[in-house]
Amino acid sequence: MHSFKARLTAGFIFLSALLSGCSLIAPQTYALKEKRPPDLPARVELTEVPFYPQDDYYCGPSSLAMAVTAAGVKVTPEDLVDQVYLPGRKGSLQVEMLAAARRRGLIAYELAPKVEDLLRELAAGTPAIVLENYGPFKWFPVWHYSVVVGYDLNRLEVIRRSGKRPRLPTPLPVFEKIWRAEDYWALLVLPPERVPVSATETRYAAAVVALEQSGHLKNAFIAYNALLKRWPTSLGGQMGRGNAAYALRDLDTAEAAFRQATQDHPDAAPAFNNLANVLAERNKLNDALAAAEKAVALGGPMLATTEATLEEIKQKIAAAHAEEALRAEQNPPITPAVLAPAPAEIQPAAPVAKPKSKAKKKKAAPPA
Amino acid sequence: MKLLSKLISQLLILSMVVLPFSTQAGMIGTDQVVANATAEANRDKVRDFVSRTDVQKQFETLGLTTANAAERVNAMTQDEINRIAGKIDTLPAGADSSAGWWIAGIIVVAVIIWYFWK
Repeated sequence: MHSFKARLTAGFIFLSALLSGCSLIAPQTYALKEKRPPDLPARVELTEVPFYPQDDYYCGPSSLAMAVTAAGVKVTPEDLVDQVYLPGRKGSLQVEMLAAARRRGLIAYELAPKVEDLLRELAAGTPAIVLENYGPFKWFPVWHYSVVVGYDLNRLEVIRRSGKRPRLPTPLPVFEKIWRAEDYWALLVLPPERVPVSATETRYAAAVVALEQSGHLKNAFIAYNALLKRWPTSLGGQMGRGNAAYALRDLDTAEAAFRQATQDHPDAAPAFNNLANVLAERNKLNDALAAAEKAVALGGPMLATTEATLEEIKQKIAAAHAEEALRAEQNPPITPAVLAPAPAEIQPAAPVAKPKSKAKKKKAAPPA
Repeated sequence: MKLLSKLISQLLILSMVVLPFSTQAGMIGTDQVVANATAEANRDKVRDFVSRTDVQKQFETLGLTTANAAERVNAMTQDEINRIAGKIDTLPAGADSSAGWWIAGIIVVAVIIWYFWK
């Protein structure tokens, strides 16, 4: 009986500690309470975030549907069941939530594990999907996704859309306790033009790369532009902008982006390699050769690719020379009548000679 | 027939091992320059391939159709695949069923009773 009393007391201490935001159970809430960042608004609520009530086990699809719709792409939880719900687990995995957001052409950004960052994103107008664990024991986890749509620092609470409840104020220490159990995992779903206020360059760039790889090139291009607005000399941003533009067949923009990358990062072999490829495709062969040679000279882990690029450009130049020689030889005797059916064949070769002379002039400047 | 399938599988293994190393000229992907992903640059492509099929198979045993599983695996980055490969049974799967709450409640009650009787 004595031990029961002792345990009961311990339980009360634990509860009161939890509710008062003790540094052990909710360290970040405690820190926030001690020293509130002056630029953080005291109260935020994103009432425009829609609410989709959750059917059994479907908190993944409903949370995601709320965040995706808030980001501007209308979906219902039913639309997402086939993309995130895993019947054998009766739930949804975190990585699938990321992947499904990207499948709608949106950026999926995993927040840094900080309460303050979460509040800052809310203040900037972005709701967050959070993974919580209500489990009473480590060996009995009860996982749940909900959407945080607001907070009130004076009342020390967050406002969530959870399960069947469209507005559930939760004491911040309690929220931190169940959120901390899953390493403070939070997901932002964003339209491509919007960079999270708390984002870091590498984390955000990785999120955009994933969107680019998912095939949403236009949105990835927009996101790379947004990235460059925030971090103007980001190598990932410049390369991504160039690669997305290249894949969209906007060679002008691609060339400009890679050229900028080579200027801001003169030791980045991939930038020279990609510039060389675009230039070669646009038949600026001499410029392409110079860029490819530079890429190879810089070495690095992509050396095999840069060497192959250089080799290909050399072959292209040799072929162009041979064609030119052949044409020079054949041109005089060819009569206009013979030439008539052939222009389609000759046309691609024709620009080779011209831009090359131009290219030579341009090339004279950079190596000097 | 057996010989033929053996031959084919050996050819497949060979191509899996050899193909990733035949470097092609061309564009270098953005993933190769983003710091988060540079570790991936030198990663073993065979292992990547294996973990992808692994995850897909596990998805199928967890109740997805082959087509759906393939589609979902394709939607993930290699980084994400590596995060879940071999751990799909134990990773957090947000669900919050009312059944789960009942079980949690029963366990809590059981623990309290256990404390009381001890």
